[in-house]
Amino acid sequence: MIRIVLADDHTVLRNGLKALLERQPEFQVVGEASDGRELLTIVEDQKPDLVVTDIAMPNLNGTDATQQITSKFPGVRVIMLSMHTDEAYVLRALKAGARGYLVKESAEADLLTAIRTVNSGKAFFSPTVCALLVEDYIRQMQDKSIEDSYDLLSPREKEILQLVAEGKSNKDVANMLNLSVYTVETHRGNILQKLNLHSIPELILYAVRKGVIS
Amino acid sequence: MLWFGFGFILLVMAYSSIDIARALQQTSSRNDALMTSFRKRDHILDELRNTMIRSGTMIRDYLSEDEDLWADRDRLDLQAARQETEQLLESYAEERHSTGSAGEETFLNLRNGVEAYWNSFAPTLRWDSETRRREGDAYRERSIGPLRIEVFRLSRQITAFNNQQLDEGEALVKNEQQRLRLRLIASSLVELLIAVILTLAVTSRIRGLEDAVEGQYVKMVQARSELRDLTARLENAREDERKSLSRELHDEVGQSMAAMLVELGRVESTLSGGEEARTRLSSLRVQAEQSVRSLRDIALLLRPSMLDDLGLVPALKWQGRETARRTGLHVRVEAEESNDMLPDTYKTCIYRVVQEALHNAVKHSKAKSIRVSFQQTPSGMELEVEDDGIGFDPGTEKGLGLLGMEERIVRLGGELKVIAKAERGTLLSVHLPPVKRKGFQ
Repeated sequence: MIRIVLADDHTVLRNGLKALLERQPEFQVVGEASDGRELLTIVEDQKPDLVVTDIAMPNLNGTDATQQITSKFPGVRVIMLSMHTDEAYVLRALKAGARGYLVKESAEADLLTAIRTVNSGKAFFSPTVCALLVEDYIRQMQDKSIEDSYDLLSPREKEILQLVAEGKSNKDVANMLNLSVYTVETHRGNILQKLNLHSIPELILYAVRKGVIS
Repeated sequence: MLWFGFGFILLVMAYSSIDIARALQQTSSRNDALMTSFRKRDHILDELRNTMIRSGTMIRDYLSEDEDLWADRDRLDLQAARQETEQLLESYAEERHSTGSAGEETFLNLRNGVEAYWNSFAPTLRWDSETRRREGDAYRERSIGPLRIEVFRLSRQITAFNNQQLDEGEALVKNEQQRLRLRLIASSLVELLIAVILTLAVTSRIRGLEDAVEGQYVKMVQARSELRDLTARLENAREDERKSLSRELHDEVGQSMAAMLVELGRVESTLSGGEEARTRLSSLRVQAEQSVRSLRDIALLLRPSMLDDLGLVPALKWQGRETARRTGLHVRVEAEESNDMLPDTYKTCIYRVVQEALHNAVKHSKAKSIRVSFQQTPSGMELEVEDDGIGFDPGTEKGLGLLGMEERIVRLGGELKVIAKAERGTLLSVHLPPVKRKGFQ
């Protein structure tokens, strides 16, 4: 049973999503909020497994609320709902701590998959967003002046890149590959440096672009 | 008025020079006439004196002549001499008359004296040789001498008079010259006065013109700055309108449609009806999804929400991606994200300038790739948009778009440079001064 809190100032949409979730026996909607502050209160009370929240909300917006939730309750996974498809919004959502990004117009079709994926610790992005990320990346790679730095990575680094992008912690990766946590950390640093990335959210987006994860 | 003044001063100068030339001419010809007349009269008087002297000799000869034949001849000579003196006096009178000299009395005295002289010995001419021999010496002693002395006295008097006349004439000429000098001075003074008045008039006119020109200039500068203000206000109003329209579309209409889509999806999945209803519902959903995408595109084109939600750099990067997506060109945006949120005016300015530059590059340059770079430094902001297209001549092809960009940049105290070389691409470079935190919006 996955305990879920829904937050959106748009009641019709929220009700639609709630109805969708309630038909699934493994999901339980334990709270609904129409703004960021309300969401924080409910999360504090209910300690849900997962939060599905709109980005744009009155009082406290979804991104700032997510930031507070993921820093206070690291166990709570967050999926962001948004009207935007641009990667800048996706990156901001990831940086705030969300691991799922759903475009509202296709929320109905993807919500269940998204919740299941994110709940398992992996990242999830709406197909529209993935398509755009990949498309832009391919176009960029056609520009001869830009090097594809992915080839700079060693096979081991590529392996670690995928695991990290899928949401695995350093410890998980170390266990899976029979390496020390310290070695994994070093690899991770090298990967970021070689790919000229600055954070895990950027690394996740890179992996999506590259098709390493989807 | 000025032309009238200049004309007048020229007329006065011309008139006075003609007048003075004429007066000089007159004076000199009067002087000449005076001298000629004087010489003539002097000459006449000389002749008169000579004739008189000669006549004295003739009388003496006549009185002492024994031969009648010779006496007759002397008589004739004397008569001729008398006629001569009368003629001389006549011509002197004429000369006097023509020059209009005074001294009538002196002249009449002379004439009477001469006549008395001739008359005094007229009776002796009738004397025979006997009488001449008997009476001649006594007569000569008694009458001729004093008469001749009288005539010479008169002649001297006339000479003196003549000289006096000359002096008077000279004085007259001198007087005339004096008058001429005065007239010259007077006309010079008049000219000077007019010149001074003219100078004052011209100076004040020029001053007036200068003031007018300066006034016009100030007005023009004012009008320009007003126009600039107005343009800025208009631009801001337009930007605000776009912002609210974009938000409205995206947040209100978009959200509603998204909710509808969720509902549609639910209806679709719970539908128990036939295949046809399912197909129609599905195509309805596809259409609605398309509408949402169009709506998002329109909203982003009006004003990208990133500009207000995430800041300038994400908006620039989005624009680069969007342009690449739309046109297939390589667009590279080099910009470091910074936490330093710029005021709205700066964000909007840079965003719109980049938008216009990309638009120009795509539309006109035939470029294959475009590079956008934006950097914030302590000395301000540096923006560059460079393409590898065909370039253009910024001197002649400065379109409205470029002017609009410049206007935006200048308004923030910045500077726009366009380096465009034919066949070698275009580099647009913008410098903006650092944000003044005092006026932070």
